Amino acid sequence: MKVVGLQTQIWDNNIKSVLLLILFPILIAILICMLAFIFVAGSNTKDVMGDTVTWSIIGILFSVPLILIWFLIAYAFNKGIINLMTGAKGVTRTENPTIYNIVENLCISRGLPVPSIQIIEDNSMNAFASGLTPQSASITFTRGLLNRLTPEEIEAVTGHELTHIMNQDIKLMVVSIIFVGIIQTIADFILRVRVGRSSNDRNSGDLGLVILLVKVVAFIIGFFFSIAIQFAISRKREFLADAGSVELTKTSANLISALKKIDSDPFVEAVQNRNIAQMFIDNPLGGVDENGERKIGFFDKLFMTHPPMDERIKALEMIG
Amino acid sequence: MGIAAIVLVVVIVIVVIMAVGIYNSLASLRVNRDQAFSDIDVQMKQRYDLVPNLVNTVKGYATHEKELLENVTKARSMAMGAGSIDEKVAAENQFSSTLKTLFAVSENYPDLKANQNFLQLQSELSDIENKISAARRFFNNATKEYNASLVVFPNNILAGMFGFKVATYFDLGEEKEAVSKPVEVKF
Repeated sequence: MKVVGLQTQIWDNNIKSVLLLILFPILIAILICMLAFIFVAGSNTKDVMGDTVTWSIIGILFSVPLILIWFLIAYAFNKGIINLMTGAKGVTRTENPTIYNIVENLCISRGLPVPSIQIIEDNSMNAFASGLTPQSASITFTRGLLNRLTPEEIEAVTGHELTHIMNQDIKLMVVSIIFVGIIQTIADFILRVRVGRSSNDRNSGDLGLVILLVKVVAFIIGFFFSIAIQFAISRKREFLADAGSVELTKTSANLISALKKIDSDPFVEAVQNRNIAQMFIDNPLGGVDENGERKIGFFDKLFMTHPPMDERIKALEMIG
Repeated sequence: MGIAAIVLVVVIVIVVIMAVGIYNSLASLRVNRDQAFSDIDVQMKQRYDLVPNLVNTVKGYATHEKELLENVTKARSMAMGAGSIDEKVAAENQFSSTLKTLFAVSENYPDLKANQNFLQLQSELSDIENKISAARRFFNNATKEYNASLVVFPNNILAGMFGFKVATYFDLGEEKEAVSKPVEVKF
């Protein structure tokens, strides 16, 4: 569909998120097929292809309940961590009426419960939303953002974070992270597995090469594709959160000026982990080099958690 | 039941699914536009509520502007009574221009300009004007999105069939005309 405005942009990003998400189980299935192939190739069978197909199907069927159990355990674990981060007590109306009112007004217009509001004492400008349900959610601002942005700009940032909560993006990212963990584990196992074959079979040399190739592909899938998908999903959700903020505030000018300001100093020293970084409104990793340019490492470019700022602003100008 | 028949059935099913998708997206975009207009309406109602107070305040000081004040009141009634979105847009622009004229004329009455009530009303109305501008921009974007989705292929074929028509924008049109002739109000 052609993207010609706010609603079509939202539909487009949602469809792409779903397609990307579907890639995860497809990747798992591919890895299981590879594993089946390696075991089959290492055995004494005459029918490599046929046995591979059989064992792939058996493997996939068996893995479904195992993956479900994995999910339940990992999800509960992540939930515990996230609950620690969100914190029970937030800023109250009397402590900081300005920010409380900004958040509350937006929540009322959307029928959302007011999330707990936290403040990080850091002079940089950034914000993130956390929590697996709208009822248990929280929004965290840095002190720098509250001091250096105008109330309208803070409202736009709040709209962005509230949209993340509304769209259950945090849940989506936890699901992605769990999938990546599963895929990396399977890929790691494929790399390590050793299969023997009778040494006087004249095919063993060629087959050994093929197995090596399969391991290399598994490595690429496990340690590049999976993470690339995770961050592609993250970027789509960022676009959606920007669009959601425009929906809530009915204008994009404030968000654009807020993003421009934030981009000049979003670095939160305490954050080093890429999985946590993707929750912020702008990438908090990295730093600035001698020329004042942002330090962007090689891996930062490949796996950007956020879309480039000029792309975000261009999208906002189209719908604003 | 040959291959040709099966292919035909599959094609028809695909076309029907596409048509349903197109209808639903056009309907959603139209609803978005309607809601965007209601949001403008909310602001406009706030403005209508403030105007009688404004007219009474000005009446006390600007005794010779009876006709102007009557025009404002008349324009307000027309705007409040307008039906369709198109009618409302036209009536709203007319009403806005009468208000602009009223404030322009008030410049000639220093006592009025010093009145606390008048100043507060002026500031509230100015605030509402900003909100209306923002709401109008959002409405125009929703209108643009709806229109742009109507005219592309293959939506345009189905749009006519389903009764989706190109929609109007909230144009400055008449307001622009009135601003260039501040004292003359057409009725």
